[in-house]
Amino acid sequence: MKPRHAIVGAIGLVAMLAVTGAQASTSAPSAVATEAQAASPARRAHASIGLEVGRPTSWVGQSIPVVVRAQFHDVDGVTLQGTPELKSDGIFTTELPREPHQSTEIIDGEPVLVATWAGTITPSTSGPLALSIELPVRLQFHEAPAAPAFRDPMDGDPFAGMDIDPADPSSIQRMFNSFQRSFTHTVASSLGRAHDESVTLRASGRPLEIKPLPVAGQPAAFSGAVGRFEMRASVKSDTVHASDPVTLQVTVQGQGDLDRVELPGVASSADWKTYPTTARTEAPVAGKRLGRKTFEQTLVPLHGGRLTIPPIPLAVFDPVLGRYAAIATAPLTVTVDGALDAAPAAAAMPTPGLAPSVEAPAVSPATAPAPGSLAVSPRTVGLRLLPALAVLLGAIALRMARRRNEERGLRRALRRTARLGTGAAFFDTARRLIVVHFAKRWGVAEGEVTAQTLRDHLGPTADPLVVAMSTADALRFGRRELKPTELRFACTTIEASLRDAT
Amino acid sequence: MTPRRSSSRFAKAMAVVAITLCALAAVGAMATREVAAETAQAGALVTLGKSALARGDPAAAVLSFERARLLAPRAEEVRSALSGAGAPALGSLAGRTVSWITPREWASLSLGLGWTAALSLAIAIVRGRKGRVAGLAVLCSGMAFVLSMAGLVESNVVARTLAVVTGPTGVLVAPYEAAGATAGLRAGSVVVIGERYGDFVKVRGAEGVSGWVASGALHRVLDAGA
Repeated sequence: MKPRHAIVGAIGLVAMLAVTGAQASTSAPSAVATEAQAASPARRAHASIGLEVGRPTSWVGQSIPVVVRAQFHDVDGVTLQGTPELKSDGIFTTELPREPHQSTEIIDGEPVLVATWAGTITPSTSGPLALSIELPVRLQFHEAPAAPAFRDPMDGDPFAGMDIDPADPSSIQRMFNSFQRSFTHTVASSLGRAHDESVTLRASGRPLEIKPLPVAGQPAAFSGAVGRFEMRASVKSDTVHASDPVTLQVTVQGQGDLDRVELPGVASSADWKTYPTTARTEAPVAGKRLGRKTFEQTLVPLHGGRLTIPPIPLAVFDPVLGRYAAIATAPLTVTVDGALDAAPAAAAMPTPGLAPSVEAPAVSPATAPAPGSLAVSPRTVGLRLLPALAVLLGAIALRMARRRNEERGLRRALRRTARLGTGAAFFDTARRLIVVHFAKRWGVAEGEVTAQTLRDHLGPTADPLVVAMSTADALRFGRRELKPTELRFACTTIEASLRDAT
Repeated sequence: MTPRRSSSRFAKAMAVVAITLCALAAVGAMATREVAAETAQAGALVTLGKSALARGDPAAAVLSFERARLLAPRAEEVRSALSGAGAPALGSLAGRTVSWITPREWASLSLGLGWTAALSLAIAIVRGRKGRVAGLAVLCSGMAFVLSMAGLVESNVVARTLAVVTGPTGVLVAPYEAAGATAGLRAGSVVVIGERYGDFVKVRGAEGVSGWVASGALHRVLDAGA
């Protein structure tokens, strides 16, 4: 626990607020003490706010640790109505936690409620930097109680008014009223008058001295990062498949304003297709962790092999040494499964530069999926089957044409069977040919063409035809081998008979 | 039967077998090339999805993964990506079974079987009573064609009703804004969309979630863009 005077000394500026009623004001510590004493020589509530600045001089962009302490003495309740607001024209970042660290300290033998915010400020301009701070609060407290008046216990009757006359019903009411007046006076005089006030604690102090960053030796890639940092790069997996994205993680950690730390990331190259970096900042935790900023970048390997992720540089200004410095990550090697040759798309990669490519993820035209190709409508299949319908129609037409030209087919079959020497097939075809020929010729049903009708219509000319029909019957029920020469002769005879009959 | 006749039939049978084998080889080569192309497309979509996940965009990631599933549902890469993104397969058992084959595969199957049935029928018509084998082929391929067409229709229904939730949204009990919400859907949740009423669409999600969602909060898997 720090004694109050030590805080005042270290702060360099402190204000004590005396809560006297509706108005709250800030003034120098001595004035506050005077006012407080003047307002109430006995116990009284008061609140104060102070700002402790880590160093009186600093560089532009350098983080300066600050501690804001608000003290509340002899109050019944405190409600913070916001966070401490640092007011200055020359600060571009203020990092104070929303929730303060709360504790009760014994200061000058009195318990004091202390709320502490520890954070940093970063000056943006050089020269004297004036600081002021405001904190809106709501306080509940009691006025200092009045000194109890001495009362002679023998003066007067302490039981006056408490007589009860059984014959007078109003005597009970009188006794009750007397007791109530006595109790209310006693409690009010011992606690003091209650207050519930909203006030704003304010303080201001001596200006800080802010030095400008040196122009000489400033690197071209310097983005304003001032502090002492270290960088570390890692990938989640150092062995990936071709076209699998790799997530590169770069962590910058140290003392300084991380908001001004910007990394361009890895630029697209013949090895890598890169995407914009994302960043997240983790505020420092007092006594546990330094501030940390983590950058993540997605890289897609463009070919197989052992690919190297190049170092990522960062130019910083070291406020302790007072000069610029360059830090960088170590190069990383990733083993990529796949062809060693660079993909054709790599030829279209932009020249490596500081800024990474920001276009949408590239997929080669050969593999670019079109949403419409993901599903095929049954109608499409139906359309592709339309030619099959044409084939069916063609088959039906062929069937009908065959029926019309059955006699021609039978003549071809007759010659073929004669050539092949299959007797049964030959005479079967011959009989079928004779029936089809004369049924069509005479306009009768095929069943009406018999050996008898042939003789009736054709006379002796029909003899070879009748023989052919009877031979067909004979060969169907009995086995008989015929020579090819015999079949060819029979074929010629039958065709001649058919011509003669016509 | 004479030896000459026997050799002629054998030659015919061999010719038919050779033609059939050639046709099957051609169809197989085309199918292999198509499957390879679809697998490559699915791989590209998985890469896109992983990039989206790395950017912290789960909706775009699941959209890419679901599209990859339509192209290569049996690919281990796609299945692991989907399970990694927490996108379970939705739909009925029949729908999930049908989804094991891609819509394009169903279409190719239907087309092949349809042509087989049509050609068999044509042969049967031409050959008449002698085309008994062709008639049997018509019967078999016709039945298979009908089944494959049913699979194609079902897979299309599954693909066209899949949608991904683009941002956290509530599932309402009725299609109006003031209706109470029965559940919440996070960005990247996969739902099956049903009937539409005004600006609301009835959805069915994982773990029995069912209700109405503003159509603006959904992106259909088959719609262009991400």
